[in-house]
Amino acid sequence: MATQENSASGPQAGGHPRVSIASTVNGEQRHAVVAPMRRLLDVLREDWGLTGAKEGCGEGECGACTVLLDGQPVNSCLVPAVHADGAEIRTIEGLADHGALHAVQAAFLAHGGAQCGICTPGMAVTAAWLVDANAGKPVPEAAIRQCLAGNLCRCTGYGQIVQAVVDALGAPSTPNPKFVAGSGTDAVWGTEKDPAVVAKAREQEPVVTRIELTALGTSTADSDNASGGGQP
Amino acid sequence: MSEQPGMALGEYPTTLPSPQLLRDVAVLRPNDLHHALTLLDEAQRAGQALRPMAGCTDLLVEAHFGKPMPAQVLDLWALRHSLGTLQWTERGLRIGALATYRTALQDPRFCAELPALAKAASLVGATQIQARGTFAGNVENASPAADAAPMLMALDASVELTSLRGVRELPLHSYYLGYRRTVRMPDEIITSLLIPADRLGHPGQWLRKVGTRAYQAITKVGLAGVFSWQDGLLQDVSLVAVSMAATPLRCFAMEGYLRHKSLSDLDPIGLRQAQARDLTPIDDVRSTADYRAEVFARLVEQALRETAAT
Repeated sequence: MATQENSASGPQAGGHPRVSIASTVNGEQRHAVVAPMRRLLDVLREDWGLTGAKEGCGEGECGACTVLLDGQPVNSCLVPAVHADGAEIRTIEGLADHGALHAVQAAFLAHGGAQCGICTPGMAVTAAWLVDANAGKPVPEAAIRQCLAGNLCRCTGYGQIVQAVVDALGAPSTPNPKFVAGSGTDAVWGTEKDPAVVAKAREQEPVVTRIELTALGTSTADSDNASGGGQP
Repeated sequence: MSEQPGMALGEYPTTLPSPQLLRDVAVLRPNDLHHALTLLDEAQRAGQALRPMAGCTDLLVEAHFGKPMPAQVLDLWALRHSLGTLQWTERGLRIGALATYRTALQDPRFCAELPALAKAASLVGATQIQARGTFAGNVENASPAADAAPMLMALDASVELTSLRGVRELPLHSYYLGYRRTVRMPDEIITSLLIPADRLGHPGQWLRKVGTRAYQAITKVGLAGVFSWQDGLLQDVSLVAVSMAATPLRCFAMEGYLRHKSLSDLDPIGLRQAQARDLTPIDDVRSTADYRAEVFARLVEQALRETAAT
């Protein structure tokens, strides 16, 4: 854990605060002496040489820097180094197990779930989190899209990515009721704007309860898209 | 993700400012709550600012956009194991200061008894932000476009503020003094948010966020409410407007207008006149005053229709 002798942020070098951090990264112990508010993304890339996580936006919008911090997907551009101290971190470099690809990685390859590749490391990390927690369970396509909504891709249109995740889950998915209902742009989980449309969707859909969705770490949410499209 | 400080396209920096801004920020890491309060007290006595931080989903976005950083921050994340829980008590639900949206969304009871607040939590940023952002941080950040604070306000939540001087509890609807200003004193931290027991499992909880996209969006206009219908009459109601004023705002004039009415008593003109007494929305980068005013009125009408039917 921390090398904090007291409450302050540790030894000062040249007037700049410094903190010594120790983390388990992809199963290996890593140490660094850094500015305490240095971004985890920079520590990973510049101090530890793990350049898989990318900087897309730097403000928590695009998800290209996604890593697992104590088992949760986070934007490493919004995590200060002090929060990595004592934490377990998994990056894209740690998804494969001794050369054997994670199911998500294999499925991305099989489905062509990448084009330019910038979003792919973050997308794969978030998808692996979903798949590891729900392997073998039928996850609605809408829930997959919701889970991946914080990982923006400007190339693929998401179709192959979602199909790859469905494949990696190893269970048939249910289609997005938005498309089943043919209701245009704004009938997604939790909205009941047009009872007839919702009833029609429900006839064709297995009922997925809110709790089952939230067990994925996601929840029902409605979309108020003015411009259409299931993914931001 | 955070509401970003306004910046025209041409003003975007070519070199990102955050590494420089963050280099000199000292972090105080308390061992426990008393230690945290002591550090705040000492800083105040020394005349130094000490900003509490939790999941950093606002602070590090501010750094990204070049906003000056505090010289030192108090790292409350270190206390998440003791202050990050949901406690169900006789008084209601106590949301610990470090409870994240994910903490709540993974609690089946939370999702069952507070469906609209769960929906609000699921609409904050997206998956990654929900793992780090906290309800208390959302309240203290005081954005008029906040996702969780308005629903908490509609649920009559109160804020527990703790300092070495003691503990005080006040209603969330009186917590905001103005744009990005709260009643929290510099030596205080939010230790919990309390939702009263009679709101848990209430069938009339309602929330809708209108944004450009489903996720990773900031609210153009939104409504959080709790509607108590009995025999076709609206016995009680709380209405909170989002992105319609300088803070999330409880609409007392509209509530007074609506109370004890039935759906057939509703007069669209009267409703909008009451709304104009509560709210004066503005034009900004995300929407216009006219759009906000009309959509908000329609959200209220939608919420009334839907909750009356359940």
